[in-house]
Amino acid sequence: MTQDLIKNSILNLSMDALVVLNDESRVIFWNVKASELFGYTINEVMGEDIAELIIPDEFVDKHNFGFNRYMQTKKSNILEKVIEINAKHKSGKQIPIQLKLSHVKDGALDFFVAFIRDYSEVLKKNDEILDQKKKLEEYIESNLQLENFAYYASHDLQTPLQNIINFSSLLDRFTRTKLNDKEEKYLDFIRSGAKQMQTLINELLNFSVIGNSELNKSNILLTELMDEVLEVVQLELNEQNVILNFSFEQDRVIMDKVLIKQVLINLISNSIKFRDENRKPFIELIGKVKENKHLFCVKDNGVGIPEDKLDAVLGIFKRLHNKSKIKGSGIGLALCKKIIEKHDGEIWIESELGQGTSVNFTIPFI
Amino acid sequence: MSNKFNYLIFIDDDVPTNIYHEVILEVADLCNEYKFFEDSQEALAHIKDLIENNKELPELIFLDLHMPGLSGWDFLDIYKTLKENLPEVIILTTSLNPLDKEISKKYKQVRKYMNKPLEEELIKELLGVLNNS
Repeated sequence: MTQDLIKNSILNLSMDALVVLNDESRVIFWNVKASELFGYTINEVMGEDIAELIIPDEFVDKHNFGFNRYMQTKKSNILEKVIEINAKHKSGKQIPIQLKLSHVKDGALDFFVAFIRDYSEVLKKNDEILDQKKKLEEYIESNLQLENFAYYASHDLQTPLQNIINFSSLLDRFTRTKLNDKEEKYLDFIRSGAKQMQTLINELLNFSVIGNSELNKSNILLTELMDEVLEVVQLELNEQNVILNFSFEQDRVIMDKVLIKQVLINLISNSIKFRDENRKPFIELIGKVKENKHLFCVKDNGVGIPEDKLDAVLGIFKRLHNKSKIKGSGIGLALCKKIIEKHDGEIWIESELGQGTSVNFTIPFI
Repeated sequence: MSNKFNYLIFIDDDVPTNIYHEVILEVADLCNEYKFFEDSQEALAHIKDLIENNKELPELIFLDLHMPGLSGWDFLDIYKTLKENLPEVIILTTSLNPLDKEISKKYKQVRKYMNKPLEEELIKELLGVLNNS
């Protein structure tokens, strides 16, 4: 008696519907989960032909044929396999199920055991996954199109602009001696305007492409990276008589070399650009390790940024200075922010007007 | 060792760019003869004609990429089938797409990938490379 109670408790606690049929395809056991799944109470199903209960009408003949054939030949395509089919609820509604059927024959005992699982949630989740996958593919496709658009747009803008630069250079080369001061100035405006626009297009392109592309991370030796950075900024440092010192607590960092190089060049160029003419310009680049992150700091003794403008300077097209005073596209720091955030790092600025600025950024360990 | 190119071909649909390059070539005086093609199809016909009639081929071909009709890539796809040991191609483009540079590496006929414009110094450099190769 106790044994039966334990068995019944287990069978009724099962997460799957459990149905046992006799050798005439009639129900001899029906657990609680089966009632939940198909809507019939145990009293409604006991002794009834399963085909009339849960087999959809269009499959009844097929079921009867298969069952009879098995009883005569012992050949079956579905026994001991997990199959996915539709079953019929008491209400007539069809429900997708997973079914595993087994035949037990031991002496006089001859019955079939079926474990049945509601499959609709799984199908729904599969559909959701497929839907998300499709959306992701569409998103990737649209990003690719956007990137191509950026390249095509920049190319088509570059061509006429390059012509303006080319021919104003020729005019400069062949006619400068014949021009008066005013005319010379006009020509310079054409050239410098076109060159500024070219820089702007390139930086906008960089900005849009970096936002859409994947990082290409590798283990980078910082001293080697600095050699490449210096190759670009050395001339400017020398021309403006700026001292640049750098030191790194750890000499290797996993990052996208091309992009972080771009960040360092932008930050150092900014420090040179915003130097204070009243004192000897000085830039210090320090790399430390702090709480599983690399912390970099580019510190200068330049003109500084007013406190209320600190947040704004990291936004795109934010320029605090008049164009004629200090050249810049307003994209440089926004690009740095984008690159650091793509590395899952943070970037922030500390500054005191008239004292200097310190741009800090982190790159988390992998 | 020659100190001048004998013959160069430029393929670019942008007329002002061609005029600029012509001025640069005149001023540099590093080339005896050159021809500009705005249509890459016409350039191909010209090169085929030179090959068929055993005439002297250019030392280098300067090729733009983004052109209406036959693009630079279309041109290269046909050009590479014309014969063995073809003159090398210099890609001269305003494209900033790194993918274009990558694709150009697949063509063994492409010697160099450069951004426009071609300047005097670059012609001298190319002349030096050609003389040393």
